[in-house]
Amino acid sequence: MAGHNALLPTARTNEERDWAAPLLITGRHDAYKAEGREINAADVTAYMALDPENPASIHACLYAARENARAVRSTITSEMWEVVNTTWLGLREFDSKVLKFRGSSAFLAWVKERSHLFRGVTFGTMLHDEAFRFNRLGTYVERADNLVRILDVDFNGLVQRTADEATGDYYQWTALLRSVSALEAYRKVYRHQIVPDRIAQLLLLDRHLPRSLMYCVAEVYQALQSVLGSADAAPLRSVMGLYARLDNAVMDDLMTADRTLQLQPLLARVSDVAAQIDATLFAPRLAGTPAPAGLLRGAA
Amino acid sequence: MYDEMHDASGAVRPHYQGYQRWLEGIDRERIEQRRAEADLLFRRVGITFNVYGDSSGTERLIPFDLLPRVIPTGEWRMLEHGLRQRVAALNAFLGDIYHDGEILAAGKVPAAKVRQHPQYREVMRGHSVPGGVYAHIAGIDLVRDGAGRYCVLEDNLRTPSGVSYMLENRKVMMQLFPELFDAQRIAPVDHYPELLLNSLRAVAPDGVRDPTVVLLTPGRFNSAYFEHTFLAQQMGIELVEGPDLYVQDDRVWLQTTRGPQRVDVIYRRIDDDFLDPEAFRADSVLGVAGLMRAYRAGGVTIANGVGTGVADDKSIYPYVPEMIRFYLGEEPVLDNVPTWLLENRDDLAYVLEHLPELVVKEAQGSGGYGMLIGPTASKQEIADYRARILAAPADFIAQPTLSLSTCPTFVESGVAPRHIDLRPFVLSGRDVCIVPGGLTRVALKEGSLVVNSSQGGGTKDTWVLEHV
Repeated sequence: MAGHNALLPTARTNEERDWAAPLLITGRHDAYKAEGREINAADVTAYMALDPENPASIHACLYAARENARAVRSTITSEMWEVVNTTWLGLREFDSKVLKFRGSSAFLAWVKERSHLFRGVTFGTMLHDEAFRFNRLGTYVERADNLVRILDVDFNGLVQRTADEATGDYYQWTALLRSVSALEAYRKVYRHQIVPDRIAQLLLLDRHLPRSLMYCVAEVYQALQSVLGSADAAPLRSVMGLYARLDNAVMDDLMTADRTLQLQPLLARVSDVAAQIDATLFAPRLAGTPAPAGLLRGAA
Repeated sequence: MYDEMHDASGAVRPHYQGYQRWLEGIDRERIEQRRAEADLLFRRVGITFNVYGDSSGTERLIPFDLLPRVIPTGEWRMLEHGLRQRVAALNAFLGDIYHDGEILAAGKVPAAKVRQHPQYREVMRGHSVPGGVYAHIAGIDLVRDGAGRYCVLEDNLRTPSGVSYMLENRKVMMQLFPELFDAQRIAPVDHYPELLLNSLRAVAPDGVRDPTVVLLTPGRFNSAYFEHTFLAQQMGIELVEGPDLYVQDDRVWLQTTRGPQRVDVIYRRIDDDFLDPEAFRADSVLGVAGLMRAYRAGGVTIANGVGTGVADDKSIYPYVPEMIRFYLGEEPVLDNVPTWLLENRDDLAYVLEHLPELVVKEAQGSGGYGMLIGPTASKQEIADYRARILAAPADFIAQPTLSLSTCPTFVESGVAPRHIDLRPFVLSGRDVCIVPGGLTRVALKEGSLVVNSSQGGGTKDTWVLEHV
């Protein structure tokens, strides 16, 4: 999540409209407005970056990440723990003054780098066992959910706007691609000018882009299968359904007549997958029955 | 007062000479820089105290002093001998009082005192533990008196902590000052987790060939949680909380995604009272229901064993030398600190007359709380404490104010002597083993004798030299 927040808009156009996007994507728009705050670059950046009261802020995410890492510290490697811990300690170097004075880009670049580093350390040091697959499972469920939300706000917003304004805004489309680290991939795959339908196709259906919905769903499926072992479990059926939907899709099925994406049905399916995983793998422990603690710890 | 580094004439003792040469060649600035580096290393690893209820993540480090405490070979050999002997006797004592009570029958330790002790666990009567080991991990606190003689200040036989500091202190020292470790032969300590795991595996129930060991923690809000995760990780065993385990057919099971897995040895870091709501405190949510049933049936080994608290109590402590004579037929190598039991009328009378010179402690207390240090207490404090003693004399013991030895320590004004103690960790499994050294704690305030980290104490790396 912190990784996504690091991808805040960088181009300056219509300030309020653009800066509402991170609030909408993270579901914090109404709460933010309810506090009577103004939507502008400085305030939204401060809110999304460093506000500990905002559960979707980078600050809150890094805090939660560290607390969770502390709780499962004997399961993760000491290298993973140290990256998370050092990141949390490093966050102290930044406050709203620093952000204002130096601009947020240095901070955001740092967050992205730390997040890439953590992923690298995870792959490079952890046993690729059950605990690792749980890590992957969580990563790809989150990523799928985030991607659909980003598309909902940014992609659909941009399609509607460009229809209104009739200014096929190249920079806005590339910003969207960059925000999910997919601009270079787009160029490689299409070697062609940037058009919305192809962006949607890449981000939803591409099988090789590590942030596409298709890719995330396939990873979730794999991780679940090795964790659960049986093909009959409810979470597997749920994710199979979503996989089949994407596998058979052509772009026209996923779009409305005005070329926006129909994302609510996909979002609902992603949520269902998450809920099924939760109910099967995590809820039993919360209910206090003999506990599948080994789930997070991995069977020895 | 005994100075660890200098003899009476002010000359540097032989085992500190290697260090002295290095110290002469290093400037203050470099030390400061290394100190900052050490801080950073400790923070990264996360060996910090949590200040609870503070979401800004304020955490305190236990101060680490860069000047090591050095123990020469011969001295360590003597200490090791004394520690083995003492822990062997304590384990024999525990086995005895939960079985035939020979030492009680012989009148060497008052029977009533043992059997009516709040830490005496009736449920352990007649239960035999593998290898006769009750205290698998013992932390024996040692101090040196004015003549430099080592004495045992306290035995910790329940869930002694601090070993993670011993290990991390060494790691940091080796990282910061590799040249010191090249120039001298310093006994390594980092195999401790392996020795611990071996000891735990050795006491698995009979017939288990490849035992599964878990570490049972009260959870992440416990102040020693860092150590629990650290040790579990170092040993490669599962870290579990009470709700992760359950008991069926007098066996303990850990639920995993591949089904239940039998647990053979539980290295627990929670107190007896919280282990099993069926046997002890019914309101405990930290424990495992039925655990004592499984334990009594021999289905699982708990380390440290249940009911060890009766042997490390301050009011039983004066009898340990007698235990050594009784069970081993040997004279104790390590002395006790002379102790007055205030339940004895003569002792009480003497102590009340000499309060300004003595240290008085609660028999059940720990962590350096609730004690009176006569020489530094005000008249009012002494008067208040006298009233507490008179209300319940049996709850208190008194000892002479030990001067504790001093060791050079980096302080604001440079290098100055500060008081230290030593906690070696004694492991008992198939046999007894001790990693050379232990955890040295240092009272950082000038003149202070309290080394507890909760009261301004710090730690030092502890070197046992292999060549001097």
